[in-house]
Amino acid sequence: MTDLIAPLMILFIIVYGLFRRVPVYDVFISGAKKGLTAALDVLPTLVSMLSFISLLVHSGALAAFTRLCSPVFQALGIPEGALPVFLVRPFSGSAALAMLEQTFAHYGPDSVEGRVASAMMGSSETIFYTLPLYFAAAKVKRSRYAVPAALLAWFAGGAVSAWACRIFAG
Amino acid sequence: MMNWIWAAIGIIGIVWGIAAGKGGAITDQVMRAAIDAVQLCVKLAGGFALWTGLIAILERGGAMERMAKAAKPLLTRLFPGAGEHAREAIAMNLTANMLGLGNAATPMGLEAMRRMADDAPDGAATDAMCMFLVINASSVQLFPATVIALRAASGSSAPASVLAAVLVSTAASTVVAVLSCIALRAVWAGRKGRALS
Repeated sequence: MTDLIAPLMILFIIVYGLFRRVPVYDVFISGAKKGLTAALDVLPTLVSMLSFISLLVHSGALAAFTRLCSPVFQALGIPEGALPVFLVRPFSGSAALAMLEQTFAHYGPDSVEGRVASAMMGSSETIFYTLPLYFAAAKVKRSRYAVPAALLAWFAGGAVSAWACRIFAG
Repeated sequence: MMNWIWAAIGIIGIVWGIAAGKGGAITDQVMRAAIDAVQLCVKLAGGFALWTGLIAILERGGAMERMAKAAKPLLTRLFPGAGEHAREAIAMNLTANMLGLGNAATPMGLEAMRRMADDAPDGAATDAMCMFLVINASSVQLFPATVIALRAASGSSAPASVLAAVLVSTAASTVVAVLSCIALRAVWAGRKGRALS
């Protein structure tokens, strides 16, 4: 089903464009040009965030932080096995996916840990990638309350993940 | 705030890596990540170009306008101060995000930010921008295709069984995103008032 969303959407756009007498090819070309400029605009942000976050991952600092935080989160009902995914999620989507795979390998995808980690993975985006990227496009220097608000939402998503998995496990 | 966060991430990573005796490893990794970032950008550029091209067709046909008009009551309430043009891009971005079309959502999101930037000449994020970003960062995807695929690949007996839990937690994080933006908006407005007086 989900495999069909993108192709059907493209099909719909082309048919819609022809139906509305849009010069589809010419408009596509000028639109695509804007997409390329957008990618170039965000390149410095990508390099700055991804390189520094890799320092955090490969120095072992993130793993140590996870261990340090685990008693606090366990008190909130978040199982220790799901913590790596939860804590890495705001920083790196690919690292969180790797953690999720490790959680599945260690506890099994149908365990409490595996299920909670799955819900955590799906309930948040990569905050420290999305925010700088979007602000770079708008040339915004002061992010004001965007980061604390995003972290609050991430935290709520994690706590509710643990709770919802217990409810829906039956 | 990003200045401090970025600096803190770098300092903690470097100091920790050196203390752990991983100076060589983190040097390799930081270089590799920088190169990977450029490769990712090239990949993104392809996806961006495809989707911004297609969306330009929708826009020329008037579909974006109609969509933004339909969602206007909700959008004007959530994003006060965002102009009509910006609301069109916001509506497209949120729709693509819900469908899980990240490649289509990001260029529309960036376009929405650029359109909202006209109201933020001083380089400070507007309330509408903050709301838009925080909702985006909280994930609004209705079907977590990647997670379910990974569960299936890891031998889950019921890969999609987490769907209900994911939907509940996604909804919760999005609701908290909206509420914390509204709450912090008031706090920050108070701050600015004090700074000016």
